[in-house]
Amino acid sequence: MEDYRMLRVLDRIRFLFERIGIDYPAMRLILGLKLTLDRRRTTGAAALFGGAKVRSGGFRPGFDRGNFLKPKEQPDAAGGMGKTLFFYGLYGAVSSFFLVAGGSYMLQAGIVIAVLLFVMMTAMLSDFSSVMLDVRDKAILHTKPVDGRTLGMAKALHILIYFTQFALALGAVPIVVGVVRYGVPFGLLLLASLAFGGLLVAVFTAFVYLLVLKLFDGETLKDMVNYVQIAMTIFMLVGYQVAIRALDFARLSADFVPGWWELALPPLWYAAAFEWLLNGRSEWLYVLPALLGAGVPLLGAVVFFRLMPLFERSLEKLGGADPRGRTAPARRWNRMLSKLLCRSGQEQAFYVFAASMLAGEREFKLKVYPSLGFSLAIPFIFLFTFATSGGGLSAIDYESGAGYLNLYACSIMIPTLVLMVKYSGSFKGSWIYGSAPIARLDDAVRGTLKALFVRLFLPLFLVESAVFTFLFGIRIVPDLLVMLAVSALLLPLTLRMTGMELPFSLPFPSSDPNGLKTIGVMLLLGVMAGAHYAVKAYTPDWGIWVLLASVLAANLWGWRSTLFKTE
Amino acid sequence: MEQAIPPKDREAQAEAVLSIRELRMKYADRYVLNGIDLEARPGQIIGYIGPNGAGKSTTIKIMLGLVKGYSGEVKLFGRDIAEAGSEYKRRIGYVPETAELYDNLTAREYLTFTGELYGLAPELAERKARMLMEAFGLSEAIDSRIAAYSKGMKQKVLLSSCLLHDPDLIFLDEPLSGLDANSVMVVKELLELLAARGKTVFYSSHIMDVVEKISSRIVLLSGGRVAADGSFEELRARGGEKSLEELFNQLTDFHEHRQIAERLVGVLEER
Repeated sequence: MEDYRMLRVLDRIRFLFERIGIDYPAMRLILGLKLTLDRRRTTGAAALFGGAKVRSGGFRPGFDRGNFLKPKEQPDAAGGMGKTLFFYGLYGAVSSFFLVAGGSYMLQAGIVIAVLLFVMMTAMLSDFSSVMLDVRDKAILHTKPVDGRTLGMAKALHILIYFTQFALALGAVPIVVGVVRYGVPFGLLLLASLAFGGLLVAVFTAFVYLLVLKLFDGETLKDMVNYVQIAMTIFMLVGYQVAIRALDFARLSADFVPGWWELALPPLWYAAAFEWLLNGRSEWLYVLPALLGAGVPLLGAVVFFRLMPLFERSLEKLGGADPRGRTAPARRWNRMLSKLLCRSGQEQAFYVFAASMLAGEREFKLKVYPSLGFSLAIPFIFLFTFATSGGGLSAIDYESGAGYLNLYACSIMIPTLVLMVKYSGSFKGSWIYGSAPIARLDDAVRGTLKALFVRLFLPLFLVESAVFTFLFGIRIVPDLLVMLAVSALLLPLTLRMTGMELPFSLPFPSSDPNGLKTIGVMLLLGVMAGAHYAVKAYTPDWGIWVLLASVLAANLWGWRSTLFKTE
Repeated sequence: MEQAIPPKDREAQAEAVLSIRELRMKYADRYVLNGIDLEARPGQIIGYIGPNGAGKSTTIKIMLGLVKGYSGEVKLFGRDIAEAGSEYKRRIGYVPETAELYDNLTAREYLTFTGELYGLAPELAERKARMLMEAFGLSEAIDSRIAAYSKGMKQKVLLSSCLLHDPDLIFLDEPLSGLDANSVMVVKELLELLAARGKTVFYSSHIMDVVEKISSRIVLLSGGRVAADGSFEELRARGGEKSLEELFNQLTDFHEHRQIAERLVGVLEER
């Protein structure tokens, strides 16, 4: 294990720990182990931004020797963690633009702190949950002769270290910008605000977990964490787009005076401190919130440490796995669709199998649902972007325009789906493909792709289509059909470009190695959208039907030539 | 070729279900299997034993087509598996050593899926899955995710998925791990009934008393070769009146257990 700088810093204040009866060497050992584990963990943010490692694809009819039960990816030292911190730094940098935008302290600091605290909050609930909710400790550490106080301190310090790293990454650029523009006091105050704000967020999260664990079971919490992770990634992708458009800069004039209700918002507590301490405005309207900003997190921390044993006890609920399965109607529905969509028995089997796997796997959901949310939002973002540049939403030509072609953007999820489906948390179960008499692996892939398309893409596409039909009128239905056919065509084409693997047969990589591969598919999608536009613009009305027929023919070719080959 | 094998027991007349000749397998310059010759006939329960790393699991994986790159001949049901495609696997059931399965699925989903992979109609696969789980005493759990199962329950699911399609040749790699004493008795009886119906059971384990009791024939693998092959009585006749465990020590030429244990204790007392 490596010797962490962080630990050497702690060595200096060793006597403090020993005075309060902590077994320091044991605590240091545990902390070192946890830091090492952290570095090898994949985080939500790191998974989102692709890495460079590319594994060669290729269809494996059997299993080459040796790789049968071995994970292929070695943990990359510092990879996930470093990348995560880098991207949080980037978010900090983006938010620091508000500091150069001008306006009152209240306003500038308020916006920056609001953004930073929000990012902290979401990160806390997603990445951090794995640190806070780690129950592996129980079997490993609690059976060893280490006293509870030492364990508790190790856990608290671990959380603190994790969080400091993260707050520093997030706050670094804004603090530097603040110092440069408004001087050192401003920077220090921002640092203090982030520290207290961070503590507030941590305590708040802890209380939310505690409450959920008290009221519900561990599964609800895991689900909740999952949804927050998804929401966070969607926020990161879409949030800035929307926020920048939605910000009504008119109200943010230099003379912004907060109403008392706005003081209920924690970010403004800290912003008020800037007015009080730097501008000398000592009305209670500014002093009270500033004091709240310091007092509430400290009080919360004290209360939480009192409740720590209760929290630890509640964590036991997380131990069990989810016993819930699918209901009988869902099973029948899957079975019916499989018979409708698949020819051979094995293809049907794989359709049903994949449909259940897609519904059940948390890690898959975490990695894929954000891109689903993104592709749900992006057609509208495109539509509005083009609209606002030309005079507002009312300026869109709903009667005869081609704005609905933005719906093509929805299909950019397909390459991601196809690439992700080969991974599974329980990939070791894939020995069954080898030991069962699967004559045609094509059947397996085909059934899985169909399940992907029907279970994940189609519902979103139908929702979008309904909205767009409402906006643009019934005339776009043939176009929607073309889009659907193009989307279906992308499934085999992505496979052609990226190589085939058996579904659910590889461990999730610690970083997503396929970012680059999908670009080709996206370009292709762009070309198709362009062709569609050309057909609409330069051919008579029947042109769209010709296009539909040719895309369907292309589908026939694509699926046949890609997925009807191996024997 | 068939005539060359001397008749060993009363099943000798039946055609060999499994026949291996000169099987060698090399992993990175080391021969894991170094010329294995083996035959199995219907109705036999073969205890396949040997020290860790002797190549037991590798042999089984080769026969299942999971491991490629061997040399020698492997015939199952009279056909060379190198040329047979995958259809022969339909008659094979397999319980792997590690209880890994797609545990996001419920037992009902997993068993139906594997049953379908072996060519059963989905309705039939599901019905048999339900009945097997019921018989194993797990009907309550059938719609729970396998991730929530105990080790023994998972093992029962694996056994069910191995047997669901009524295979003729059954490979079991430590099939009793995690099962309680009562379930162990059930499985032992089950194997005897299957053998009596003409199935061939190929059983690999480290628990010698179980192997000694249930096997009609014991094959001991050591150093990538077959070190002994015969019924327990035949092995005893060769090696003296001993337990299978002692025979195992003798045949694998292992006598240092006492010394090793003493050395281990010595380490503990290191100050």
